[in-house]
Amino acid sequence: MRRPWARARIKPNVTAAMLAPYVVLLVAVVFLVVPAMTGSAQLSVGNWFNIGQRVAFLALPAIGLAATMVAGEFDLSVPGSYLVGSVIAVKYGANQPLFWLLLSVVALAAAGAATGAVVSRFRVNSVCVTLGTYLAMSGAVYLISGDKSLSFNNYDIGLTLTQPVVGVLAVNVLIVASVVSALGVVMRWTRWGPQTRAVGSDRRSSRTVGIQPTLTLVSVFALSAALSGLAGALQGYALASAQPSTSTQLLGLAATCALIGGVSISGGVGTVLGVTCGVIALASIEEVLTRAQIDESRAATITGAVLLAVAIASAPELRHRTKQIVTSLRPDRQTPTREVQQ
Amino acid sequence: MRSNERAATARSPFVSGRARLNGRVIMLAALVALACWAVATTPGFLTIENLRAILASVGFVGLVACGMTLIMINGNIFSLSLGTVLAVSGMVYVTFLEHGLLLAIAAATATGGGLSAIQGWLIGFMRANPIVVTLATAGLLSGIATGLTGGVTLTPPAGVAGYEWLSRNYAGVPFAVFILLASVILAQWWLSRAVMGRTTFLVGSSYSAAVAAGLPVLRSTVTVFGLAGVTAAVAGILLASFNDNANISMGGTYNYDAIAAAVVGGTAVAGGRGSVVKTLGGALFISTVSDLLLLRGHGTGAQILVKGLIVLVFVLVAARERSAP
Repeated sequence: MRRPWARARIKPNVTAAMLAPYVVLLVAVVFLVVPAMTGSAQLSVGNWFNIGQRVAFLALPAIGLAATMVAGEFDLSVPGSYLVGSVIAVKYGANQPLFWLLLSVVALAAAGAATGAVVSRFRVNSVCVTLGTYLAMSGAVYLISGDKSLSFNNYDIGLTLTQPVVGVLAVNVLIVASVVSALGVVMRWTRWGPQTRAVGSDRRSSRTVGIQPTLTLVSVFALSAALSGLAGALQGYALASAQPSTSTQLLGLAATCALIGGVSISGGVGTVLGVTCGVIALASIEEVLTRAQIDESRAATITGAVLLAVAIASAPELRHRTKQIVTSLRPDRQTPTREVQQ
Repeated sequence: MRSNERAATARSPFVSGRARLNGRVIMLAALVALACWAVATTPGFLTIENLRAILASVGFVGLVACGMTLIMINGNIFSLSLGTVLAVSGMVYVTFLEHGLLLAIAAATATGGGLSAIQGWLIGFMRANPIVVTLATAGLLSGIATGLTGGVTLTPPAGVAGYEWLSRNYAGVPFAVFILLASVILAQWWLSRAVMGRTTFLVGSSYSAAVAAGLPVLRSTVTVFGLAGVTAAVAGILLASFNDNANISMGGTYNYDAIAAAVVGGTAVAGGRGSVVKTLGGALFISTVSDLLLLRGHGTGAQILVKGLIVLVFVLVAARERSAP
């Protein structure tokens, strides 16, 4: 059977949108490095370590959310999966950390797969289904934790995970980097990447060329839940604590990284490399804010403003509307209707 | 406008009457079964005090859900910032109380309506994603509000009085419930009678068709977001009066509760279908379930979990109705 999508080689057109993540990353690094070079601020090993830890916290949920966005959907349950992963790991994983980490990741992947199947089978808006699963997961987290913060007695795991092994890169950063690299390879060199993009671009056409959207949606939602759960478990072990919450802060950060990383909210566009650049850029921005001793509320304001800016920048009618405004502001503008009236 | 009116009130041709009936029968049966089980097994459920408590919680959730329904009917999925708008409006209300009650109410409703209308403008003018825009705005507003107040709980200045009547019970019913009923009647009238209300249905049914037909799509989106902001602000005012204080975490889970109420009330997330009156029923259902769980000794976790399951069940029932031949 001929599969045009499998062999098709599309020469990419380099556009501003494709370059955006790398430009943002460059700007963030410049803001981080230039003050240190000019002597106005010190850039210590601790700063790079902090960036690494932020990347370890954000990269997996951001890539999971981005995968669903590339497939033309949106996973609101990312913070729920993260919390489930962290609470299960902290509550049960003291003696068998790897077993409980894998168990929570597999269970979340199964839940994610079920979500994908429901979205595809019933053709229902994924935002609604994942809102339901997010609430169910948040509720489950409160029940598992007994409505209180949990602490972890096995501090050795946390110390091992946050131990720098390659320069400033700690073990948890290397684990996350390995997973991200593997996903990058899978997205770039296997059929799954083009299939996901095709399903996100035009679901009906993708079906026509032999792609099964159901399998793609099941896989992206399973991936999103598993990655968020893995990030939660690693973070739970690293911090030796976990607490229930209904905050959507992680969702906002993950969406910011994905959008900075060039992922299209309408689907079909996005790469693992771009999202990783988005994550590093946001982590660098946060480190710049921390180094400038900007308090938490201002940092939250700036992060919110960045997300709002990228939401506007990724709006489909931005260019058209900007042109409209520019045209209306031009002094030599002549509207035909007025001429007729005169 | 006559054909548009007809289109707005017309039902989807893809939904068979039988499927719709089945969905409704299931929901009705679920409600009756829940009520019977609750009465039989939960001590204290059928008491005046408990019914009053349910009504009080419906008052706040219902107001936010009322605005959320308008946003959903307009085809903008839903807003994740109404809870924050509620909290910010409550804080503005408490801050302005020293200048007089009327000014405080005006400032709070203008803040809520304005903040939400700006989001509506961004979404309607540029077609920005409503989830991302409202999520970003929620973060932005929380950060600004926390920065301005230092994260503390605001209380009315000493000696300021005259707002207590907003939190009193009248004929045993909280004042918020009367405001909710008035809001529901007004919103339902607006949706079914006003030209802009009917336009809201048409824009939600098919955005591209509404644009092609030359309907005021942007004005419609800004209006529904503005109205949703006003209802959230009114809820914030009433909640701040009830608590005698306001802080940024006051928004709590109102976003999710309101979405759950609208979904249970049969509002289509894809837009074009919904009713504020049915959302009120949904809010009553959600509050009754929460109350029941509370009376039976279940905490926050069980309540959120059950809300999530309710949303999932009703989304699937609605999807089944839609896909039925």
